[in-house]
Amino acid sequence: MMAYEISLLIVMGISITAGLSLNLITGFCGQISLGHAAFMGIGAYTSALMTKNGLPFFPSLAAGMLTAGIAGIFVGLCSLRVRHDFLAITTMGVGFLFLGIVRQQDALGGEMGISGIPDPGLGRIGFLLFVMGCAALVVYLSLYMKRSWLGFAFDAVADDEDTAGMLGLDVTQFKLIAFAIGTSLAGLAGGLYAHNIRFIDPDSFGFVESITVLSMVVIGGIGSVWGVVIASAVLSVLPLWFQFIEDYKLLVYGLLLFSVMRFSPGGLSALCFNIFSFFRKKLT
Amino acid sequence: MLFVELLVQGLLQGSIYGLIAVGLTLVYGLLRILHVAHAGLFTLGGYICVILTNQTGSFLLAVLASMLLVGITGMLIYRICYQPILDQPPFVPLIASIGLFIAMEELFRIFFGAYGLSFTELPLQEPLPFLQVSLKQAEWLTMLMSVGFVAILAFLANRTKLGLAWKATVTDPEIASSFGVDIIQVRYLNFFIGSSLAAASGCMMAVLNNLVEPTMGSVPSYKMLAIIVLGGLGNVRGTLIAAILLGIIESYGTIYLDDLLDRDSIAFVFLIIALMIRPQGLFQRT
Amino acid sequence: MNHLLQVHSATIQFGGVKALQDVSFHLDQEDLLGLIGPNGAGKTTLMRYVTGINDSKTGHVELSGLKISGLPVYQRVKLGISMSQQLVRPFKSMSFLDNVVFAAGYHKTEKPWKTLFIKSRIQEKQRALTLLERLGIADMAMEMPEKAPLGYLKRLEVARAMAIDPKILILDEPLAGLNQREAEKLADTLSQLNQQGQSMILIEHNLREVMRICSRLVVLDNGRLLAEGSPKSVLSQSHVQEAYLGKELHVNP
Repeated sequence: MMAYEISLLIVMGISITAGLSLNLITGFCGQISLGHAAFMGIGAYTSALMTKNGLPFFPSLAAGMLTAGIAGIFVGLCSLRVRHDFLAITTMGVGFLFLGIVRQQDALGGEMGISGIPDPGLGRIGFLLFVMGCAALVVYLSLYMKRSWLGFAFDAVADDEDTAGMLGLDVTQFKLIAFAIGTSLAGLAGGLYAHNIRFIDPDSFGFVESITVLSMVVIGGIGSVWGVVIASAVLSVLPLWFQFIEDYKLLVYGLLLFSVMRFSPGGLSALCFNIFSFFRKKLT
Repeated sequence: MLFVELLVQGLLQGSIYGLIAVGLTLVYGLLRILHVAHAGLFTLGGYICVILTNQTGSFLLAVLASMLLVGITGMLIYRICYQPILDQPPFVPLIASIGLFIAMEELFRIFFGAYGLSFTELPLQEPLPFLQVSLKQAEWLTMLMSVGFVAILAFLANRTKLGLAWKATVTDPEIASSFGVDIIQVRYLNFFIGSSLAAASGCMMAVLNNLVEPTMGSVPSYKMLAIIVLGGLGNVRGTLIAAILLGIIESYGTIYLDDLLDRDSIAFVFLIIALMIRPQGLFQRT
Repeated sequence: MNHLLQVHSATIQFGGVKALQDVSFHLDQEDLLGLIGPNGAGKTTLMRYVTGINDSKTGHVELSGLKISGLPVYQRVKLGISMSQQLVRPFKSMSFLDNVVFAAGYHKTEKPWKTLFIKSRIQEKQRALTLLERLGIADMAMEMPEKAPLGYLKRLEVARAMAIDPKILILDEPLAGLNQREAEKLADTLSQLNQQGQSMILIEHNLREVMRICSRLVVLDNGRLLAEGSPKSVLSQSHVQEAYLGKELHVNP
């Protein structure tokens, strides 16, 4: 395989992990987040600082997941106070808070970021396989969760949390679980990102990145695992494919986001479903 | 007099935030859309203002034309983009709006270049001392406009038939329509006024910086969201107060908290603390 | 001997309006208590006070002698108070069956972390089907609630409330939206359930059915307790007839 294709696949794998991690929170449990990139950032910074100080790759990655998950539980606690649009804005605030702190701390590299992050030592193919393995695990976890009672309870919380409470569900705990799992997986994606590019700075985890992850979830079709997988894979490499229209690529990206929402608000999964049922009607 | 200077800077910044956020809160109050593309209208307003001032030589004419044109653009955006997806969950219009905003920024760049435009002759630069504070005309006008427009809005909302219809629609669309209020008309009007305010804000921003550029809306695009939340979503007066408060806090914060946090995160620390104490925003919905 | 449920001087204010003023009543094991009163009398507010949706610092609620005021809603539900809402709120993303299956799995969702490792829904499905059949809406099991008629959604609410095996089943106007035949049938079902030992509180405007199946009545008017006792004795009181029945209905006690 060519080096270029390997890089492309690695990027896809990482963003599938990131997209599905947000899908657990927003898609499954119904808690909207506009600051998801911050948790990827926490995972990335934690693991990068550790490997730079000579610690091995895998424990560092795990530590990144842990710190991101802990931060996620804190934000989850916020989600207990505020709902819906207020929650969206609060999580957006958390994202900017993360950036603000990182920018002003020299220990975290400040504006300059952290460069020279060591290679994980798996070789490019090895790293690709590891990333794909992670993505596959997260896909499996998502599919499994959907069929478990945890997924069932998430459905209820996303649908109507007051009613879920009236049926004896401890809504608080379920929200915290969603945030804990979702954000630690975001930390995993962040750690992989840091050790793929081997350079991170605050802008790698800004507002635009949070929006990008959210659009992967929404365009895929909120809550639909395969829809999000496809949307994440496509959206992550879209800017690269659009190289030939160089100057217009962001314009096309913006119009694409807009058009999907405007013409198929249920995202790609709803679009496919509609096309499928259209043809089935034609055939019968 | 660093203290006074910072206060004035804060008031100025707060007024710019206020104009744009008041427009947004109108839209939010009625339709519950987090209308990020509002910041694109702000940029559009600035561009129209600079171009027309340079063409005609009249700043006043340019501002009025900008407010009118952007107001109409706002109504078109409502009709074409939002109306068909109003019954969708809130993140659908949100993402659509973000996509639209990105596209708008790109269009400005493609048509007018990445480095932006300036006035050939910058208007309103005469210093105008008042109460020992010496500011330029443009700066006075900015502050005056934000307070003035909110006062006019409050007057219209309380004294005119259309204003009362608007208030009734915000409170309860169903009851309003049963009283014979034309809700669709109110929505268009709402988008028109909200968007013109964004344009006014963009015009003043253009004069204060003597620059319009494609990305001038990106900081307002998220900060205005924080402000309308603090102001108690849909509350016009609360939004203006929150905007000015935020302007002042940022102004002092960038001097005294700079080692710890940057400008944006000061705003959001303020936001998060405020929301944890008062989950409904600083001010109640009206 | 403690009552199953005892409410002590419940008082609730909304803004300046007193929705409930010093209301006390009790429910005994295997009672079917009818809670009646004109619109706006505070019936729903009183029940929301019991379940904890509306809480207030004055007064308190005891369940089998244990004080439950101050506990969040879901904990009171776990202790055995279940309420079906007057305004139906089905989970819109789930079929009729799944709505009830979810409720019936209350013991599976008790320990949130363990739910990830539980998958089987077989028992809950059977229980849910039984409930849907009992309430006469089994034909809708696979349908989504969105387009269902109100009468069906009302009974779905009841089925869900029953599915969590409560000590006290509170039903807020379950008969509204049903035609006379359906109402009679549902009232029979409730009465049967009560005879099998289920304690119940029924908020209802359909006085004919209330008179037929309730063992005791509590009457509210303007947020105050107006009367309580056996249906006959309550409805024969002149101030009850004045406040409530005089202007609306004439029933033969």
